[in-house]
Amino acid sequence: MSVSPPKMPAAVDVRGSQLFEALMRLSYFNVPQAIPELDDPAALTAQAEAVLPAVKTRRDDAQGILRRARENDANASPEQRIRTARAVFAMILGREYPVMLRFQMPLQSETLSDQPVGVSSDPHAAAGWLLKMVRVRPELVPLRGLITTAEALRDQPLFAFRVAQVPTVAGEAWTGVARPNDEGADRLSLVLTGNGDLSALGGEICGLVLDQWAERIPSNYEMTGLTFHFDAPTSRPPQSLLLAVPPEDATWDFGLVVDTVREAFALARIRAVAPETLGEYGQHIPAVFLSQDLDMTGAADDV
Amino acid sequence: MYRQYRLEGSTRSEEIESGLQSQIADALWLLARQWQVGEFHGEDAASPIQARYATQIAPVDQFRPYAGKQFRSIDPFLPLEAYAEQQPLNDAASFWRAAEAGQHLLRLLAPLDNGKWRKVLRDEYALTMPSNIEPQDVAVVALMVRRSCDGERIYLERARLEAEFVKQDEDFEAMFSAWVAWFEDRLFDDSALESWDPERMEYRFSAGATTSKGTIVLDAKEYPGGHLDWFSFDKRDNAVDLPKDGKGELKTVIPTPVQFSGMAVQRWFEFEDGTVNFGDVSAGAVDFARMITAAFATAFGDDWYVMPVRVPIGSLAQIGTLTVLDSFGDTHPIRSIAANDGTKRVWRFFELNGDDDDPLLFVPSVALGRLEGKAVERVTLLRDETENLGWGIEKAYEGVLERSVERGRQWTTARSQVSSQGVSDDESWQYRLLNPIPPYWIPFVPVRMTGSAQIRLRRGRMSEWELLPPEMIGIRGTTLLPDPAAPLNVYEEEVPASGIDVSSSYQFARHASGQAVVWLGRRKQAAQPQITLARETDRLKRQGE
Repeated sequence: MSVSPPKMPAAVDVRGSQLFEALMRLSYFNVPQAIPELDDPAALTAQAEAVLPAVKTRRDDAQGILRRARENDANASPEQRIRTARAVFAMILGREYPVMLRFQMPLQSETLSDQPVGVSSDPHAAAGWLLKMVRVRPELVPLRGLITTAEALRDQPLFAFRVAQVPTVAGEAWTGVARPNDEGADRLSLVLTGNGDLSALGGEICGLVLDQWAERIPSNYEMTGLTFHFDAPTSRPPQSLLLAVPPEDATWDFGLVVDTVREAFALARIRAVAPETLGEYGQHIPAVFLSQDLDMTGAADDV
Repeated sequence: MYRQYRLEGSTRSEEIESGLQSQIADALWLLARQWQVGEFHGEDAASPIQARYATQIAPVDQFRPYAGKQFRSIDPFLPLEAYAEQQPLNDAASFWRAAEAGQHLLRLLAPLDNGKWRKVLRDEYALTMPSNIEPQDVAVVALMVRRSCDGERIYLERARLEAEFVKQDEDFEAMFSAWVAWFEDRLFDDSALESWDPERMEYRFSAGATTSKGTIVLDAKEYPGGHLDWFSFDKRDNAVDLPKDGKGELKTVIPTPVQFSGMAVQRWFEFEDGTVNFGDVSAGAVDFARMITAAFATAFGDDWYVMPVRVPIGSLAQIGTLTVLDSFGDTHPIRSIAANDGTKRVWRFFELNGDDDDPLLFVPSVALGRLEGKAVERVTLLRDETENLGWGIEKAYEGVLERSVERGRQWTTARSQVSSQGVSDDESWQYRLLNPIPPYWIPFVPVRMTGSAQIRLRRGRMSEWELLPPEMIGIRGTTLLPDPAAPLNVYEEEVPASGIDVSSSYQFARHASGQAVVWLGRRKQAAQPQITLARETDRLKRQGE
């Protein structure tokens, strides 16, 4: 016994009709159920009617987001603007897409047009460098994969590289592969890649930061120390100035100077002595007495 | 009644404020304080005002694996780690390296080529599809096989290539030499200097310093990878020394007193740095290092002088002579403390083991601020006391695109495909005597070495693997399979019960000239986290549990 397939209704080709094309385009925007029916014009119309409310909602919601964003656009931060754009795209396209803002190129145009020594002579120096760095920088792996597969598929180099280095020193090699002329100098190096001419990159541009890191170039020399012990004297000069004047009836001689200094040091030692240290002698010393008047009005001024 | 007042001066007070203020209106009191702390005490001594020293420097510019016979000369400014740690790539990584190098050559060729060279290179140096490629990588590998060429073979046969093709075209010649330089620069490897000892799972090598009397040999016998410095090295006992003729670079400098934070100040009217207080250091009864530091800083910290000595990196340095001139014009030759204390000295600082005479200062060229990629190959070695075995678990190996391939995931996917065939009834019970050992758990069997009592762990294989598809078994990395043609006998003591991890990752450092150096290096560490052994016996379970 043989089973024959059920009879299909006669096919009507609706391809090319306006409704078909419109539905087809909607399907690119991830609108559910929008991939058009092929055979039946009536089904196509029904499908369009079913799909239409969802499309309208999308359009209205997206316009609502845009309108609200425009009302407080003046003080919107870049992050807020990106969020708004992502929401609008998600609404219209049916899923999230990355959104990039345009920004002002922070470099002066000559920084990009004049390439460091070594890069100017070899246009693929940065590409070769990238293949080396990718082994230790996992963030570069997707870019390497893109370059490798795209260039293998198209069978030609597709990615241009441009190296910028600030501060720019004329005739200096690229810090990616060589030390700056000036030991201890810092350099910031940017490697840009893209499709097309990057030498005149300026004004507003759009791009992604893939990776950033710091490298240190060791010095040729290490500073070590040599130390020794030496029993140096710990005596110090006096911290006071001795102003000596000769007695009225004498002139300076060496003996007088020595005696004056000695006396000053003797007095200094006595200065440290307080009555508490003297014990029993404290009854008599210090022998500095002030007379007092009988009427007990106060100390006399003659000692 | 006649009374008198006595005027008493007092330098003492119960209150602390006036003392802390250290008022200096009283000149005599200032002098008294200086006298009290001994600043007026005369000493028969003078201050050092000038020092003259001679340095002898020997560049560490030779290298050899520990078992090697001949030293090879190396660049003393290139990080020693690069020489010590570099190792060959496995098959997948070699393929990828060759493919990318080939593509880079074609990239360089593009402006001067109308497809002629491209065709020649692709035909003559075609890549062959490697085995054991991960399913998700097959497409990109096949693409490279079709569109790239074998850069490694081109590099090896560059002499022939230059004679046949390159010399025909000047532009091609310049471009080709640029490519050869790039190829050599891209990855630092030299199989003649390979220092990894697979039987000990660590690096063993010697560095040599060239002197007029011969080579000073410095041995690094147990370098686990990661960070190399002077303490990884021993000086070989019978080695030559730097010439002791007092010659060398002479320098005259002004010595400066050594000062450090928390140092006891010498003078009365000086404030001490309050951030470091050595008097307050708490040290246990056996904490000698801390006690010595605190005692030195508080009681013996003064009367030390220091001078800067600039030493080229990658060298051995020694002070030949040191002469100090004091403020009275006398000169004092000063010997090194090590020389004074002799070979039996106990105090050794920054000294290499085995360096008993006049010690040398080793300033190796090390990878400063190195960048490290993700680990591409990971192996864990551990002991299994119940089965009296060692296990070498190859957790991951390097696949194409320098990507790490997890063998555990590979095994789980493959096994689920195998075991899903022929399962009849979800309710049936299954008894298993032993669970299968995954093919990346390599058994190491203890064997007695011929002619000695020593036992080592020899790499083996499980007979149950014969039932597995051949592409699932075998070792992919280089740690457990350093040489496919030779057995591997690992020293028993190198595999502790807690296990060790050996991982390989790409390393990056800069040469003093700024040149970037990349190499593939290993590192041995204690196993982290610890693995429980996978052997299970007598297990009854239902399918799907």
